Amino acid sequence: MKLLKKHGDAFTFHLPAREKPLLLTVLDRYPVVPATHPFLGNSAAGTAVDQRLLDEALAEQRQENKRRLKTLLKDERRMKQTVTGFHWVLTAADIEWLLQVLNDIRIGSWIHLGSPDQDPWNVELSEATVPHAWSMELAGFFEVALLEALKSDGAG
Amino acid sequence: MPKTVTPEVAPDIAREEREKPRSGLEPGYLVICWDDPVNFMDYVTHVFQAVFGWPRRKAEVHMLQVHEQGKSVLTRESLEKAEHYVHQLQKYSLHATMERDE
Repeated sequence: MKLLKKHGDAFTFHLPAREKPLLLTVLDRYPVVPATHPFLGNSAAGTAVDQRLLDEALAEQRQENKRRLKTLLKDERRMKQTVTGFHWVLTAADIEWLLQVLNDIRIGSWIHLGSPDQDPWNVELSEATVPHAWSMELAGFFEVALLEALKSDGAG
Repeated sequence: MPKTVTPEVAPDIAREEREKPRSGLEPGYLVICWDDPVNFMDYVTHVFQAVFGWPRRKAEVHMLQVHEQGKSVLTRESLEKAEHYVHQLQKYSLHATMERDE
């Protein structure tokens, strides 16, 4: 996926035909980070009430993200077919939000792989681990494409 | 005309501040981001910019502090604001916590 152009707040990406099913499949996995993981809270400090409020807000946010994701991916005005693939139009706010979604998938997959502590990841590939390793790499691939697009705009 | 001396009665500001009870509105909570081996450095820098509105250079300094020292204190805020920032950072899947600044 590459940025083709930016006009105003609209970023137009070229999504090659072979990458679209990968994008849809990886996004379909959201949310992946376990709700009780420290990445999503469970601070050592703060009161139990503080933590409960944070947990509730986060759970609500994930549900909203799931709904928004479905709407975005079904919007044919945003993703138009071309000869070689698709043109996908996203706003800066969409990109910011998609980064959160993709990173949840990436981090969650890493957690399911046992949170290996170095890159290259020392993970034994098996039927159980391959889907997580695949999701982690794919989410990272699309994440980098979005970060590059924001930087090219001077916003990153 | 004799010079008069006006007694100065200055408020004991230091004592008042010491005795003032802490409240949720008082800035006294640290927002901390912890290192992890998985988030892209570029991503973390971007998140700091997006959440705090920092220029890229400042965001990079904190990102490197997280990376090299294991954590970075990002800001000191009231309870309400600290909770807000922690929530924002967690939305991006960064490991963030808040601690009372004793």
